[in-house]
This record gives sequence, C-alpha cells and structure tokens, in this order.
Amino acid sequence: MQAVTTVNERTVSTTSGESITLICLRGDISSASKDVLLNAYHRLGNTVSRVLLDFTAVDYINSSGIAIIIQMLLEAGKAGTRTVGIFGLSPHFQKVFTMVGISKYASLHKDEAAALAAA
Amino acid sequence: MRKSALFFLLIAGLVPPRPLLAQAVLASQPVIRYHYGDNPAWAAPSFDDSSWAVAVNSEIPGPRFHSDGYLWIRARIHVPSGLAGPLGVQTQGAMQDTGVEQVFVNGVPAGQYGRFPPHGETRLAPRMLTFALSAGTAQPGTMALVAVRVWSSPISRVTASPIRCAFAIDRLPVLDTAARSDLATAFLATLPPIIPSALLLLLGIALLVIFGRSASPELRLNALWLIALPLFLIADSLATAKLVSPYATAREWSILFIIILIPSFWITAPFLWTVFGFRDKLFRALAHATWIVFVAGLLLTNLAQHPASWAPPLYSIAWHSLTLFNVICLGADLWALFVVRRNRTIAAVLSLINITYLLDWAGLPLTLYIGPVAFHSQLVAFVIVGVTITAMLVHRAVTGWRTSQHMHAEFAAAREVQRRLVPAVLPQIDRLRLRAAYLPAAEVGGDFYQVLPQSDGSALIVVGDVSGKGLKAAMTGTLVLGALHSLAQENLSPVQILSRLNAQLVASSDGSFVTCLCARIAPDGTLTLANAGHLPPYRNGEEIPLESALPLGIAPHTASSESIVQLAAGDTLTFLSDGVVEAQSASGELFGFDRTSAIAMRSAEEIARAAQAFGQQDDITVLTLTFAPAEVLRA
Repeated sequence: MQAVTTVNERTVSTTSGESITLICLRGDISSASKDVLLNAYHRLGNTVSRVLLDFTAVDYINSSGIAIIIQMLLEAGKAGTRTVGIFGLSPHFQKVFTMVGISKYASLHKDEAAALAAA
Repeated sequence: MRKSALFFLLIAGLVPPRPLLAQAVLASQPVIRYHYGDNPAWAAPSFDDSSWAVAVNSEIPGPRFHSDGYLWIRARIHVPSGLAGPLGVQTQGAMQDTGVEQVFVNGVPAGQYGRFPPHGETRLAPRMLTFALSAGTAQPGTMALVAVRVWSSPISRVTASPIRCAFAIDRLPVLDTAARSDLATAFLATLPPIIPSALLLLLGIALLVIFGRSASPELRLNALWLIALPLFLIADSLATAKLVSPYATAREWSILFIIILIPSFWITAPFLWTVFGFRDKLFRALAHATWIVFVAGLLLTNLAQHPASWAPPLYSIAWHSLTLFNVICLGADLWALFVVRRNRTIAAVLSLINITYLLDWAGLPLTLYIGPVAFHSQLVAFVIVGVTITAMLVHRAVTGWRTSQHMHAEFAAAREVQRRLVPAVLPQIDRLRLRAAYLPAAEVGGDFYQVLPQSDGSALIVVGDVSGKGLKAAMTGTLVLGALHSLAQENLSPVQILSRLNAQLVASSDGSFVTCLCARIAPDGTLTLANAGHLPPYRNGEEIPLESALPLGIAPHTASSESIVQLAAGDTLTFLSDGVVEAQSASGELFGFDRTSAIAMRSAEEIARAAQAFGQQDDITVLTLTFAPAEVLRA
C-alpha cells in the first residue's frame, strides 16, 4: 500500500545570503502524487529562482512519479529563470534519476548541506 | 419484572406507550387500602383495615426490594344491581406486568395467577385478570370486599415502581369480553413495531441470500444486524401483548429476550468500525465491555431468586452501561461525521438511533402519532437506519460489482494486448544465441521486447517499458511496437529509431512515457546502442555506461546519443526491465542494482526468477544474447 505524499515548503539562506526554497517531499511518489507535487511547485512565486527538492523522507518513487518530477523540471527549463536541485535520494534512485536523464535538468546532491554548498 | 419488561421496551423503543387503565368495565374506584406483608386473615371481610394506607389516585408504591415482596390490597366495591347469571371479579394492574396474585371476594378465594413462594413462579400477566365467582359469593346491589394478595419477585422489586390498580365485579361474560378486547387492543398496539421489524428481518435474510459470500464486510454485518434486532423486537412485542405468556415464566422470557438481544448489539461496534474504517481498538473494546456489563448485569439480576444486596446496584450499573454504550456509538458516528469525514451520510443516519435512545434516557421520549397508532421515535429511527443504510450499502455493492466486472473485462483485454508485446518465439539469428524470460506481474504492465532481423544481416533488439499499468500501458506498448516494426524496414540507426518513436509518442500525447533501449548488432559484432531512460545492458556482467536521456514521449526533442561497443566472440549481453531492479521484499527493500549486477551473467530465466522470488512488483523482462558462442563458431 502506497504512503500518501505530503509536501511542505521552507526557505533557507545560503552562506552567501541567497534565499533558496526547499520543497520537502514525504511518502511515496506515484501518479497519485501529481496534484500535490505540481500544486506545491506552482504555488512558488515568480521571484523564486532557486528550488531544492528534498527526497530525504521519500520511501519509494515509481515510474509515474518520475514522470511528474520530469514534468516539473521541464517546466522550470522552459521558463529558464529557475534552477532546480535535488537531494536526499537513495543511491538506487540517484542512479535511476541519472538513467532517465533527470540529471540533465537538475543537479543531484547527496544531502541538504551538499546541495546548499553547491548553490 | 415490570422494570425489566419496561427496560426492554425502552431499549428497543419499539412498543408504543401502553394505554393507561382501562376504560368502561371497571367501575369508578372506591377507597383502596394496602399493607405490606402477608397474613391470610387479611382476606376476611370483618378484618379492620382502617389503619392501612390509602392509595392516592389508585396508586400504590411497589414492595421494597429488601422486603419479602408481599402486599395486600383491599377495596369495598359496589356489585351492580340486577345482574343475572354467573358473576366474576376482575383485577387490573395489581401485580404489574409480572408477579403472582390471589383474589378473595368476601373472604372467599376467587382465583390465583402464578405461584407464591417458596417455589414462586411469575408469568407475564395480561392487564386484566378475570376470575369466576362461585354462586352466592357476591350479591347484586350490595357492597363486596375484594382482597388481593400480591407477591412481587426480586427483579420486579429492584425499581419498586408504583402499582396502579382497579377492581370490578360484573357478569362473567361481560368481564371476559372486556379482557379479550383489552388484549386485542394491546396486540394491535404492537403491530407498528412488529410489521416493520418483520420486513427488516426479511430484508436482512434477503441480503444474505442474494449477496452471500460476495457481500462486503459492512453489508454482511448490516444484514446480520437487520436479522438480530428485529428478532428481539418481534419477541418483545409478542411478550408485551401477552401472546406468549402461557408458554414460559417471566424469568424465562426475560433471559430469552436478553439472549436474543445480544447479537444485535454485539454487531453494532464491529459494524461502525468497519464502515468508518476506524483502527482504534480502545473504544471498540470499551463498547464491547459496556455491552457485556449491560447483558451480564441484566442476566444476573433476573436470575437472582432472592433479594441479594448486589442486585439493585448491579441493575443500575447495567442501565448506565447501556447509556455509555450509546454514547460511544454516537461518538463514533460524530467522529466519522466531523473528524475523519468518512461515510458521513451513514454516520448521520446511524446517529439517529443513539440520539433517540439518549433522548429517552434524558426523559424526552419522542412519539409520532399516525391516527390512533403511536410510533416510538426509536422504532422510526431503526426503520430509517435499516432501510437507508441497506440501500446505500447495496448500491455500493452493485456499483462495486459492476466496476469489478468492468475491470475484469479490461484486465482480460489488457492481458491479451500484453501477450503481443513480446514475441511468442525468438527468431533464429546467425551468430547469436538468444534467451528471454518474461514474467508478467499480477497487474498488467507495459514491458516489451523485440528481436528483429535486418536485411543487412544485423539484428535489431529493442527493450522497453511503458509507464503506468493496465490496458492503457499495454495499448501504448502496441503503438510502440507497431511503429517499431515499420521503422525497422527503413534500416535506421538506433538513435534515429528512438527519435522517430519519440516523435510519434509525443504526438499521441496520452500522458504516458516509454523507457526504451535500442541496440543493433552487426554480423561482425559491432554493437550500436541508443538509450531513452532505460536500464543500460550488461556486457559479461558489467554495466555498459550509456549517456542518459529522457524517456520517449515526454519532450519533442530528446538528446539520445549512440554508443558503439565491439563484441568479441562469446560475449554475453543482458537486457533488463526495471521490474528486476525494483523487485521489492516484504520489508520494502529493493532488489537494486548491486544484486542485479551480481547475477547479470546468469541465464535469463535465473535472473528473472531471482527477482521474482525477492518480491515481484512489476513485469520482469530479461533478454540475454551471446555473440558468436563457441558452438556456433564450431558449426
């Protein structure tokens, strides 16, 4: 049985003082997560230029979930004004994300500290 | 036993209020005197009862619980003049619903109902008891002394409810007619609960017969509830109408009623918890506990032969326990209604039963009158709940059944389409030894693979996976294969094939995407690979590094590139679907890339079985290929 996806957002500052919005995901990411994920992403204001997707509390991502992530990244790519980073993935899903080409649209990091350091 | 009987009426709430003291036959009442205790001399007309208490409005406090239960009532009544033929005496209400009474007229025993201690036996009593008088016992136009010796059983004395009594002497046929008329009236008054109860009982039986084992748990519990509660209501109504009084003692009936009542309440908590999907065990256990206390309390107080000191408090606890049971059930309804917001209509309807009970408990009984027929609010609530919830659950069951039929048909169609996504037999291709294992998941997936010999002697190998499940995924797979077979005729490179497939999938725009690996193996062992988000193949157990690219069908322009590998004789390639690496154990652990890599040199069948044994979640496809194996070269 899939765990329900929940999303919450928070803003952090890098050492350089730049503001980054974190979208923290929890549960399983599947087709059922589409509205939750896309709504959270669309709620971000136009001024948000840097976004980090936190997968630390995500248990499982199926192929439909990956498609949703790709859709989000393609939207960001089309706008051209927003960069997206991803952290907290297990080694397995890091490999899967790389395999399906997500790494071309978003930088992948081990954890939040690494993601912020790279920002 | 009156309190016990009243309790049954209240708990079910289905018997309309009984008419008060009867009408015509009983004469305007004289002074009624009473005294607790027992003395045969009190039957004598000459006994001076002037020191006895006088009943106010014909009402006498019932014997106290710790007394011996005996009570004498005396009244001097007028025997109408001009009466001819056999005479009789009629008492009404002296022993309440149950008890024992013996009637004397002018000191002469007229009759007895029930049996006095030491082997006391009480029976449910009609409101009017009529006894024939022997000739000369009472003279028309004179005053006659009616003395009634009454005994109340311990359970009847628990509440010491008041006795309202009246007496009459008249011609025996007149009194018999009045008694029969009163009994008929009482029976008619029970029809409002009996008829709907019987209909709901039939409805419950019909549900079990029609839906049988296919019934959902809540529908089955609802059917059992519809059988259990009406059974009690019907039995109770018949007892109230005194139609069952000749067949058992009052205690036996009370115990039988309690036993009949047990299932209906026992089903209630599981029903609520099932319908509302509650997982809480504490309140469910508490609901059961209150019901156990209630039933045990009633049974023990009914079984008590002697006035044990524990009986009254236990009886009170039993009642309060029933109230707590109703509070818990109402709480469950409200929790579903306002907190978890699940099955809110059912919750609202179910709460009617508990609300009407609690209104009764608070002394605010609601009774609806349709003409002369009274409908107690709990009966009305029960009928509304029974019919409404049954209709909703049946509708849900039928809808579920239709959906299931539809899904079954779709599943069969999807399976049929899925069967075409993989070749029934692998082709024989020069210098290649091919093996494949394909284990479809329980739910139809979209794995596919094809091996297509090319006109230049090379082989085109395509392995892929459509996102999603079911008929849609399988249909997308057939779309890909149809396009692939067409493209294979054009002698295109793998990256060109993927690009053309992507264009077709993006144009179809059905929202799904396809991971796809395309390989061409030339007769000289040149392997050309292009990948769109699929698992890279293994060469002799080592993953071939490929540039990543988006799956097909997502973006119009993919950035696939080609990789070229030179195969040596005896090299083995292993192509997989993600059903292998994403096989998942019961604990949620993935089969993963490391395990896959470790077994990548095994046969296709072995790899597939290993992933399946780990925990199959998706279609599992494994295709192995050995280039120019030794036996081929020898040939």
